[in-house]
Amino acid sequence: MEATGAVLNLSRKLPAARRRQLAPNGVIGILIFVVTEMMFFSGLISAHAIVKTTAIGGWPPPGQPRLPVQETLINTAALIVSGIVLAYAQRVYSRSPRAARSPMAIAILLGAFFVVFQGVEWVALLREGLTITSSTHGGFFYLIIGTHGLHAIAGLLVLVWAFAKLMRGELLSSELVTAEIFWLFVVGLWPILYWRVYL
Amino acid sequence: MSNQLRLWLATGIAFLTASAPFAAQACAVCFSAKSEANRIAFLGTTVLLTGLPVAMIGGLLYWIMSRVEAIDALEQGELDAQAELAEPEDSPLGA
Repeated sequence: MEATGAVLNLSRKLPAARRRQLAPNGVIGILIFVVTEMMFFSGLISAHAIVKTTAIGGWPPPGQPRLPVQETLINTAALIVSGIVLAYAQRVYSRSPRAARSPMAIAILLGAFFVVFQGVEWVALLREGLTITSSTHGGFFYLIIGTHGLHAIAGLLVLVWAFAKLMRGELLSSELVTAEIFWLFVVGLWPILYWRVYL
Repeated sequence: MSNQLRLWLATGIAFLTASAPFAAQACAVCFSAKSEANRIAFLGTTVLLTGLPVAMIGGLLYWIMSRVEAIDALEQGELDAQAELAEPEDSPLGA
């Protein structure tokens, strides 16, 4: 009991605890999540790079469908613009939350366009015979691009949730920043995947 | 094992290593590389997977440190402002 008392007395002498948070919990959490996700995608990209250089007969393997490079470039542009518009929405939000509605809606629509376009592209590739088991090319394509697609869908759902809160006037600045960080991760990762997988 | 035998064994290993420098210098992945492109891919991915976590953790630490400094400066500014408010404008001692 004496020891406990000593500890308590000592704690009273400590300076007052920090009143301000370093950053909102959501922001810290999403940053840690993004770091782990970047390592996950780095592993996938690394494996893809190694397999690509050991492929017999070049890459993509002979007889396998070619990926739609030009069409996906349009999709890439749409996703990048979506990220820029969302960053603009976040800047506008600090001045007037109401003014952030339109840019945020545009960002969501562009993100949705990207996901739908990817879906259409996948259907076409499956019809041409590129499946997850058809070759290592197909396996890596669906694994890497599919995982990114799942992240894009998750990011869109988060953005839609944030937009609904914005429309009700309940969205906190920290929530918008958290959603924005995740979406910018999805956007920023895509050009790297496009370069490594499509080109 | 006698000291002499150990010495011969160490000399033999050193000789073998010196006679096959490429295998000795190569890391596990570089040794299995099948072509120049494959070797470069191994090297690039090794650099990526080694450098990226270090850069990300370093970046996070830098960000946290800059945030702490910003908060410290803000709180110090608030304390200074409170002290100025608490201090009477005309001191009774006339100092």
